[in-house]
Amino acid sequence: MVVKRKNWITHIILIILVVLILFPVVWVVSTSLRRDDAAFSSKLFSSRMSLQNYKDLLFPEENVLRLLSDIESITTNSQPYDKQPVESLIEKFKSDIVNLKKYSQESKDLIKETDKEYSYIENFVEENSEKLIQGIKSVVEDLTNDLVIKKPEDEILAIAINSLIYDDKKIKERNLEDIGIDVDYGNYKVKWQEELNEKKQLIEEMEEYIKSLENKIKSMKKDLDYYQEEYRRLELILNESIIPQFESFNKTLEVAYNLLSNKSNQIRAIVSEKTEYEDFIRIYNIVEELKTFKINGENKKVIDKLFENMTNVKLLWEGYTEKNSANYADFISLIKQFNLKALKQIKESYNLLSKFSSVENEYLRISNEYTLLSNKLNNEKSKIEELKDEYENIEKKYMPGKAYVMSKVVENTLNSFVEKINGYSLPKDINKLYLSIRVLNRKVNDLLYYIEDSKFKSSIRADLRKLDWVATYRNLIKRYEKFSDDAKEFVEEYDKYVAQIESTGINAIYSAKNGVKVRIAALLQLFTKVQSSYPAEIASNLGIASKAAADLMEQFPLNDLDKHFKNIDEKLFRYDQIWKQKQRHYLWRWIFNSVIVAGIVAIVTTLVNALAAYPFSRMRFKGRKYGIMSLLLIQMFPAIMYMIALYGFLSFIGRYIPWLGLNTLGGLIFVYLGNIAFNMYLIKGFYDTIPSSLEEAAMIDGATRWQTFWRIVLPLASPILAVVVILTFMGTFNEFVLAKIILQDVEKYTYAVGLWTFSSGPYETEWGLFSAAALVGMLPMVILFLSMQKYLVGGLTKGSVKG
Amino acid sequence: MGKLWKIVGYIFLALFNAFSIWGASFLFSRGFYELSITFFVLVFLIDYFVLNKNAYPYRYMIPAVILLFVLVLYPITFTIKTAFTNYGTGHIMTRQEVVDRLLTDPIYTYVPDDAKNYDYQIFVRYEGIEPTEEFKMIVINEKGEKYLVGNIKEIRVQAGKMILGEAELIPMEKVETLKEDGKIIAIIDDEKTYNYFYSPNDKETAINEIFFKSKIAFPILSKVEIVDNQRNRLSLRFSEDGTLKLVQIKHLYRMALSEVIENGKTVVKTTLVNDKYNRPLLEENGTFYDFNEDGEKVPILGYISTVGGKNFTKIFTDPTVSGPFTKIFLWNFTYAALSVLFTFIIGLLFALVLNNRTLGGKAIYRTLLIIPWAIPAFISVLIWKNGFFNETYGVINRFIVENIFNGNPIKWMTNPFWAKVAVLIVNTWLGFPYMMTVSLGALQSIPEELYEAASIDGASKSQRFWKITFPLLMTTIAPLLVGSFAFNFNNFVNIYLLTSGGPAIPNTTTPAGATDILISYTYKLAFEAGRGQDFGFASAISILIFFIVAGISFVNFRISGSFEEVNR
Repeated sequence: MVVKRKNWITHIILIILVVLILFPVVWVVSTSLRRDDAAFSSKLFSSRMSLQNYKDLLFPEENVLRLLSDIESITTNSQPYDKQPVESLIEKFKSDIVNLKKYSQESKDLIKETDKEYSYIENFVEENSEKLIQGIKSVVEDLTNDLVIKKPEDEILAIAINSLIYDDKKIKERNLEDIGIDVDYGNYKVKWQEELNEKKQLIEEMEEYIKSLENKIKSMKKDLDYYQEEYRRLELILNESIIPQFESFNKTLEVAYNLLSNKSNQIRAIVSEKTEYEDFIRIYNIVEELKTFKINGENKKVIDKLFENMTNVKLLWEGYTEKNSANYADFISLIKQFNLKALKQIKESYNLLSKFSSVENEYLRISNEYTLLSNKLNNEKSKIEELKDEYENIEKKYMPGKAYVMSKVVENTLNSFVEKINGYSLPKDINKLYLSIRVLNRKVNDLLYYIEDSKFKSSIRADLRKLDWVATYRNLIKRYEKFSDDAKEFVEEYDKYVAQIESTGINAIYSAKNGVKVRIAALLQLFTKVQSSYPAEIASNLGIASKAAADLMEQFPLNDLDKHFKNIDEKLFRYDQIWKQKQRHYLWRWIFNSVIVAGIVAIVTTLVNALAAYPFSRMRFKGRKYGIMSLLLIQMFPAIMYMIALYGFLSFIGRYIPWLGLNTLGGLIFVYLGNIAFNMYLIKGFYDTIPSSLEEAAMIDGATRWQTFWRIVLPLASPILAVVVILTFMGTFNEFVLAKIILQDVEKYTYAVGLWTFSSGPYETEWGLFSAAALVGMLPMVILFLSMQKYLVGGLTKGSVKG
Repeated sequence: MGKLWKIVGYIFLALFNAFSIWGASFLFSRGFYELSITFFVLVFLIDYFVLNKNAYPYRYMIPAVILLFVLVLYPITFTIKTAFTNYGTGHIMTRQEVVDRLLTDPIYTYVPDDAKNYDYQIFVRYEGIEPTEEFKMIVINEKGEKYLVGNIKEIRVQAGKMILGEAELIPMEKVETLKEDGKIIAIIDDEKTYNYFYSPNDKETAINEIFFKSKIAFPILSKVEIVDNQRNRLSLRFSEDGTLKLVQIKHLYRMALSEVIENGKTVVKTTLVNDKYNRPLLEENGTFYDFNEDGEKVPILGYISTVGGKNFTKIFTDPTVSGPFTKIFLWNFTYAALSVLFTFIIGLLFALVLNNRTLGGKAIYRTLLIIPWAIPAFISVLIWKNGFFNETYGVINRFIVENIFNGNPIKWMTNPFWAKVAVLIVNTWLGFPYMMTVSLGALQSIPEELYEAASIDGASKSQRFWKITFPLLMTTIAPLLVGSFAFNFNNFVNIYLLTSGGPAIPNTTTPAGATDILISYTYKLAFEAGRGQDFGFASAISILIFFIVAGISFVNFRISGSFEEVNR
């Protein structure tokens, strides 16, 4: 008994795990059967099922657009019809026209049927109007019952009312009595103002202020950036060229000073002094002014030093008497040079420095102001955050009050709603009903905003959801009626065009066959009509109506209509399939390619392996021991890298042997053939089990070695050869990378590459097609695998497991 | 009868020899040296097998040897050679091809300063009222003399398309024409009539300009050089006002003798010389460089050249390569090890549960649990990627993370950590059934008596597992775990299809991604041209991979005694 119980638990755990593990498989199956866009749906599974994805992939229907483009090719005698005789063209044309007409008839029938269903639904709703209204009323009653909220203390209530009146503008004063709230909230106005309103106003003011600060800072930042840039530029000039120059001036001046201050020697010289002193004084004056500029740090010292030096020289010069000494002559020539250089430089420097100092001042001023303001802003921001938190905390205290008031408001609305809808009859008054429910919805949502209890919320929401059918039903009415009218008109017009095409088509075929290609105007017009006006004008309404019908199956309160809604949904879906533009898929082609490639590769490599394994099993020769193993080792080389060499080789061969080049199945097969030796081991092992006495007997009878192999060993080994063929087939079928490198055209893809395109690019969200295509390829492989399980496991383990 | 067969066999062998040797020489002449050598060796081997009686066993292996040589050994030698070259984007052609191209390609031409302008007229054959692409051209020189452009000879062809053509001028006396008011309105040649269609200076034909440009000038004429009787070369070039003018052109590069300093000695060599400035080109690192007006080096074309061990040393020395490479290398090992660990643990757990004798329906569970292995891996990976790990639409983010845990969507594809988690989840899902199956097999081969003896001795359940089951299990499973490690080490499809190796690692010069393993990194280097292909580096890494995996496998064979088994 105990053992059994334990197993029971194991079973449950195992089942849960299996379900979890196989969930992706379940998902693929269910998604491939879905009719809606699974990638955008809010549901994991859907009840709107169809085999349409498989139909589109495997048995694509020649729908209207396909037929039209087919007729276009026939009448212009272009591919694939360019080589066919006129008679067969005409025949095909006629059958296409018949099909076009068939689609017109089918569309009409579909609309007729949906119209019938629709009017049935309308009648049903009319007959059951009272019941439906009653149902809504009972929902509203449930709502009213669920909405009861405990009345909070008077103070909280009163302050909540004040704040509701003032801040949220959700209620007006005179309404209060209507909804049965009798609190003298006027008394609490002061308290409300103190506790809430003042804070709120403060916050608002501060927000305003912060905004203005931010604006100011923004504009200041611009100036700041400009000055910063300018300052950097000027600073660079100052440091790189002016200051070094000044330093050299200083040195010159020091030399000049030394010359003068030295005791004069006895050598006399004639000094030709002209304007040197005036020039010097001019420079001196400028430098004096330079000194007044506000410049920082080391640079300032250099300038001060310059001024100091000049003053020294000036003083010494003015007091100097021995003006015919050699010292003086040297001095003058030095000063001459100094003047020549300095006059120009100092003037320029003056301009630059004056600009620099003003820029620097401005820059410093603005940046100071900027930091000040930013600090202020940060301060204000943190302050306002604090205030807001505080305010929210206080506000929270009054939430129950607000909720209570709002619940009263909703109650009032509900009561008046019930009164209002008493006189309604469906489906005549559906619009009015819809609008009132919308108002109701909004009011309830307003209330839910003030409530924190999530359980309460979800129960209210569940109640409200019971009214959703009204909006959906209104949607259906609106969209379906529009669709029905448009679609009828559309089909009628389509008939006219088709008749036109039918009458001119055959002439066009003849004339195209004679070299004059005429395009049929009606055909072109119809083509653009179906291609562009159908999705724009009809398909959108159709889609919404169809979705509404499907939703109503769940939402509609009475279950009698489910069948009819479903019918509408399905018929509309079929209608869409006739007219909508569909991508051409190559799944068959891909599978065919894969089977061809994998089949050839499997048979060839198995034969090669069967041959090569024989000597390893029966004969003694050099290299036997390490032969297979070194083969296996060589195959450890990443096969993808063969492609660098083989790619060039294939493209080279392709020029001489086109079917073996790049982008051909032949080339792919060729590359796959390199995958030998993996199964040689398996075959060799099987050969070992065949008793060699059989062969010996045959050889005594005169058979050659080759004959014994071919006639005896190979037939006996056929089971394992079959297994190897299937295993290789599966392995090749599942190969993706090499195929992706070699194949470029969609039509030449193998299944693996093709499926990959289904999962990327524009198909990324087309889950229906992708999962259907995946399942189509997956199923045979899984079945093959499960039936080959025994050998697969054996083959995989045999290489390493002994015994 | 036997003799007849023998003779037929020898004739066949002779034919095979002739064909293979011809093929090998042909390949040699086209620059496929390794392949050609492969063929020669192959022919030699096969002849030896067939002609030497002692080599009889090898005759059975001839087909396998052929496939092996062409499809495995040749690519491997090619890869090894490539690993020591700079083969890749910018270095695709051989040096000879590059020189040829520089000498002949219309791109490398220039219009000399004293170039002459020529007027021209185009005549086109009509089919009904539609003009066709068959045309004749008349060239009018400065003196007003007219010449017909003769048939275009194809000088260089690539992939069936003409790259360079040449045509001569024929005096008009030899051409049959129709004239009206002294103007040529049609040319008759080879019984076909070509009507006057377009001339750049004739405003009346301006409506034909588009047709002329798109159907005649660009696809054909722009690649043709017309040679006049003074050996001047003329070709269509865009002038500054956007019209196509027929002007005299010269080739920018020519071969000439010039002095080059090589290894400190001055050598006279034939080199490429820029004709316009009369300067020899510089050849460095497998690239030809020209100089622009400022004397700066400008690379023009690169060719495949040997770079020594640079592709290997760069893994360690170049920080933009070695950084991501180390990451990839470590992740590769982590990925393989964790995959083996997870699949083994889960597989073993299932195997232990299913090994219970009293459990009913074992076969069903086993079959169901094997399904992830049975589904072709690429399909499963695509399903996981598309349906489950998609960041916006995926089932995991939309239904599990958001609805059940109320969390933010997980960035499966853009966050390195989560991308790695995704890769491991999928790989575990794919791999555990294999581990389960082999463990189950191993468990069943453990003799029951051992347990009975142990329980008599009073061993507890966990003792029985750790002392009996696990050690016995490991002796059979350990080689498989190593094999599984080697397999996962190169499990390219899973990584490539799920994340493509992404998200990308920042600050690197190679296309490395956070979930990249060595093989996918190599693949990206070689075949995804986003940042340029680098076959040389890719080959170097693949050699590295080979040594790692072959090393692991060799040890594994040794341990499991497979070599001995062959010898049995």
